[in-house]
Amino acid sequence: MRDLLCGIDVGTNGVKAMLFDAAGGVKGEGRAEYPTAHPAPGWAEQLPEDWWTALCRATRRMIESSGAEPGRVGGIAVSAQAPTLIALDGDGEPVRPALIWMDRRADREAERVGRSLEAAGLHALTGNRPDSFYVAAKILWLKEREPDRFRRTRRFLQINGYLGYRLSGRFSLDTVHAGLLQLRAWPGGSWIPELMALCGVESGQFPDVSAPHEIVGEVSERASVDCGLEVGTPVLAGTVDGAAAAIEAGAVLPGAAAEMTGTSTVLLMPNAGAATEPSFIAMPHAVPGAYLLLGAMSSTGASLRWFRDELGAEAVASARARGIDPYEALAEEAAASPPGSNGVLFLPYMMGERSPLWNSNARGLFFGMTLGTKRSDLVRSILEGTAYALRHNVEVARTAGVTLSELRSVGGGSRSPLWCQIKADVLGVPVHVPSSAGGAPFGDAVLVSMALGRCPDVPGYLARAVRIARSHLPNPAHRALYDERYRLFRELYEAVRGVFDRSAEAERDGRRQT
Amino acid sequence: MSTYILSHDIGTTGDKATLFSSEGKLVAKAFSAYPTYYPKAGWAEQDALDYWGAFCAATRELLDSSGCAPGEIAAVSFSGHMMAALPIDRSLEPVRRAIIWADQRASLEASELAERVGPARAYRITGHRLSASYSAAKMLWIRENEPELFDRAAKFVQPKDFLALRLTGRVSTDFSDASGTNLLDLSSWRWSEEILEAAGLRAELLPELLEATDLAGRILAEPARECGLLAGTPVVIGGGDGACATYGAGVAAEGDAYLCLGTSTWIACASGRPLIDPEERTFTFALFRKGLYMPTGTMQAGGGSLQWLKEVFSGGGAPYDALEQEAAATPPGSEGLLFLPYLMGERSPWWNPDARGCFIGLSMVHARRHLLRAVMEGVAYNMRTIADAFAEQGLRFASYRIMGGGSRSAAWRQIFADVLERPVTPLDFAEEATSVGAAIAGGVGVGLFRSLPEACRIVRLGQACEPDEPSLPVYRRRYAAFLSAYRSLVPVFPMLARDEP
Repeated sequence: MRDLLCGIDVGTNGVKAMLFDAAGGVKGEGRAEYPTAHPAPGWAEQLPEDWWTALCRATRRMIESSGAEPGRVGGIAVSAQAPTLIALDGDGEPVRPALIWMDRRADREAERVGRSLEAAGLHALTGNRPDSFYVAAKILWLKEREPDRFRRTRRFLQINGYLGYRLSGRFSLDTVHAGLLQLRAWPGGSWIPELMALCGVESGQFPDVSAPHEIVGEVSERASVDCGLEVGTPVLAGTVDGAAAAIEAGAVLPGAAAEMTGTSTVLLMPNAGAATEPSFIAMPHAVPGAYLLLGAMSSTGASLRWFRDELGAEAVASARARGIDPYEALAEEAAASPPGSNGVLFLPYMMGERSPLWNSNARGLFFGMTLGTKRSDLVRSILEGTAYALRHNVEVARTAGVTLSELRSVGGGSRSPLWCQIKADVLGVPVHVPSSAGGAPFGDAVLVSMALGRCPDVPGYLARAVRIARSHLPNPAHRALYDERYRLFRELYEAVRGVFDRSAEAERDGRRQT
Repeated sequence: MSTYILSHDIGTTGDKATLFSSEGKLVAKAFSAYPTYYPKAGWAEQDALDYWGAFCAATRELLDSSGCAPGEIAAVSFSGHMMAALPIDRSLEPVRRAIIWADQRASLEASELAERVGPARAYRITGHRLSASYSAAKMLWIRENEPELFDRAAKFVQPKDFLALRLTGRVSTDFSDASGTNLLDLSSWRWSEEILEAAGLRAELLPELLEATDLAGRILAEPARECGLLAGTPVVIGGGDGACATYGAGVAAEGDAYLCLGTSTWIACASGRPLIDPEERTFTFALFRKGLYMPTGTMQAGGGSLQWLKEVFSGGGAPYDALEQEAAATPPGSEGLLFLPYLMGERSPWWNPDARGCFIGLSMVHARRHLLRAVMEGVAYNMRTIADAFAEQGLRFASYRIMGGGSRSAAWRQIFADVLERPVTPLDFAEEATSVGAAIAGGVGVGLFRSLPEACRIVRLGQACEPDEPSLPVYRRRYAAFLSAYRSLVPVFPMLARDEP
C-alpha cells in the first residue's frame, strides 16, 4: 500500500523532508543542515556530498517521526534552491564544490554571455537577462578560470538531478531548472548553439529534460541503505523550490500570485503566456502548461528585523512580558500610526535591491520626518515601504502581461494581519493567507500525487487542500492616500538614486585611498 | 557698596534671573516660568503681565537665596526673546497678549509687505528677509484683524522692554532687539521710513532707540515695592537674546565667531558691517552699540534633532550616555549613513519650509550608535553650509566658540571641529551665556566695567578641541554627499508637504 507521498526541499541552509497522506495531512518530518563556504567576497559554495548526507539524515528522521513503514512511500520528489553549477567527472564525482545561486563570481562572464547574441537577443531568446545567477555564466567561468576541471567535466546537473542520481543512479533534468540554465530557447525549447559554443558545452553533457512530475528512476539498493527509503520507490524529476512553494500557496492559475516574505520577499506570478520581463526571472511552472514570473526583493523582513533589533527594545520587552511574538508587539506599535505613517516614507533597500531595480548601490531611507515623528511612524513606514516596493514589482509585471487579481501571502511575514492589510490596501487586491501546509515539500508531494495518477486536476485539488486562514480585502477608504504615497515612493527613489550611486563610488574611492 | 548686577533673561519658557558679582562671578540663579498660549496651529502668545509677575517672583527669590541686600544691586539689566509684537496703550498697559517669535500667523501680511517694499530691498535695509516671524508683519496682522485693539496701541515693544518701562516709566528699546522687528535700518541706525511708509505704520508706534548699555531709567517707587528692589536702582535696557549670547560667548571683536547648540542652533559673529548675502542665506542683527553687527545663520532643529532622536530611542536599549560613548567610537562618516536635519523645515541656509528630516543610506551595518552619530554629523554639515555662506562674503573665522546644551557633548564638539575644520572652544557657562551678556550690558552701563571688550574678559573658556587631520577627507566626502542629497530631494519635499494633514 504505497499511500504516502514524500516531498523533500533542499534549501540554501538545509534539507526538509516531509511525508503526507493523500489529503495533504503531515505524517512525518525530518530536517538536516549544511554549511555554505564563502572563499572570496561574492563566492558561495556547497558540497554535493553534504546535500546527500543531509537528505539521508532528513529522510531517516522523517520516517522515524512518522512511525510508518518505508514501503508505504509511493514516490519521492525533490525541489531545490536554484540554479546551481554542479560539474561531475566521468565517474560521477564532482570536479569541484558547487556554485550555488547566490554566487556572484561570474559577473564578467555574464556580460560576455549577454554580448554573445545580437543586441537585446539574450532576453528575447532565453526569457532572462544576462546575470551571474544563471548557469551559463558560471560554466563560462569554469571554462576560463579552471580549464583543467572544465576538461574533466562530463556532465552538468542541478541539485534535484544530483540527488536523484544518488537515489536511483539515473541522471535527470526537469523543465523548470532547464529554464534557468540560460542555454535553451524560451519557453522550453531547444539548446541555443551560439551559447553552447561560447560555454564550450554540448547537449550530451546535460540529461534529457523531463516534466517535474515524471518518474525518472527508483531508489537503488545502495541508496536505500543510506536514506532508509525502500528499494524501488519511484523518484521524480522534481523542481525548483519557488515552483513547489507556489503550488503550496495555491499559485498555479494565472491571476493568483503569491508572495513569500521572510528575510526577503519572493513574488511568484503564474501565467499561461510564458511572460518575460527583464526585471524578473522567467521559468516554466512545475505544473504543465503554466509559467512563472518570479520577482525577488532583498530586504523586506530584514528591514523590520533591523528595526526590532535597533529601535524595538521596548516592543521586545513588552512582548516578552506578555508572552507574545516581538513582531506582534511591533505591529501594535505600527498600528498606532495612521495610513501614510504621518508623512514618513521608507525605501526598503537596506541591502540594495533586486527586482525590479537590480541596483546593488541602493540603500534604505527614512524620508519626511518632523519633530513630531514617533517610533510608531517609523515602524509603520517600513510595513508600508515594503508594500510599495511589492506594488512596484506588480506594476512592472502588469506591463509584461501578467494579471494579478489576488495575492496569496505565505512565510513569516504573513503572520502579521496589519502587514497583510497594508499590502491589500496598497496593491488594491485581496490578500489571502493560506494555512501552512508545510511549504515547498507539500508542492513536491502534489507532484508525486500527479505522477501516481491520483491528482488529475491540480487547481481543483489545491482549491480543496489549501485552506485560507485569513483574507484581507482592500479598504477603499485608503485607496487614494496609498496611490498618492506610492507615486511619491517612486519619485523619491528616482530623486535619490544618483546619491546612492555617487556614495557607492565615493566609498570605493575612499577604500582605495586608505 | 553696590556691587552686584542683576541679569534677567526673558526666555520663551520663563524668566531666568542671575546675580553676578562685579568680577563676573555667578552668585545665584532663580527661575520663574510663565505659559505660552497656542490659540490655533501656528499661533503663539504670551501675557506681558506674566513677565512682570515672573520678574518680581524671580527677583525676590534671588534676593532671599543669595542674602544679597537690595542696596547692593548696582544695576538691573535684560536679555529677552525677540521679534514679538506687544502693543501697549497710553497708560503703558498691554492692549493684548504679545504675539511672540514662534508665531507664524502673519504670512499673508509678510508677503504683502514684501511685495510693496521688494524682498531684496527689505533684506538690504533690515538685514533680514521679510517674514511672518518678525514684528512688522505681526503688527500688520493686528491692524487687519483686530482694528480696535490696534487703534488703542500707543507703542509696540519687545518683552524685555515691557519690564524696563514697567520699572522706569520710560518706553524704549535697544538696537539689537529693534533689529529683529524687520523695521530697523541697519545702515542709518534709525527706524526705516521706507518700510514704515510701505507698511502704512506711523513712526510714533515705535519706541525710542537706545544702545543696550544705555540707562533706561531708575526704578520708580511703586514697582520697587512690588519686586523688592530699591527705588532709584539703575535699569539698563540690555539686548535681544541673540546679541546677549554673543557677548556672553565673549565675541565682541570683528572676526570672532561662535556656535550655539540650544533648542535654536546658530552660527554668529561680530562684524563691522552687515552681511548682505546675494542668496540671502544669512541675516544680520545689531549688537549692543551702533556700528557693530551680528551676521547670523540659524537652523531650525539642531539641538532639537538630537532631542527628537533621544525621544525615538526612549523606552529601551542602552542609556543615552552610554550610547553617546558608542557614537563617539563610531567611525567619522557613520559608515555611509547621512541625516538631513530638517525636522522643522529649514531657515539658514535653504529657507525651505517644506524640507523634512531624512536618514539616507541605511544598511544592515547601521546600529543605534550610527543613527546618533549621523544626527550629530548632519547638524554639523548644515552648520558648515552656513559657515561657507559667511566665507563667500569674506567672513572667515580662525576658530569658533561653542555654547548651548549640545556643547557639553565632547563627541559633538569634535565633530564640529572636524566638519568646520577649525578649533572649537567650549565656554564655562555654556548655558548661561545670554545672562552673562545681559550682565555685561548692565555692568558697562553703570560703569562697573570700563568697556565691552574689557567686560568680555569675564567669559571663561574651556579646553579647545582641534580638528583631527586624518578624519577630514572622510568628512569632506560626506559633506559633498550631504549637499547632493539635499539638492536631489528639493523637488520631492513639496510633494510630501501637499499630503500632510
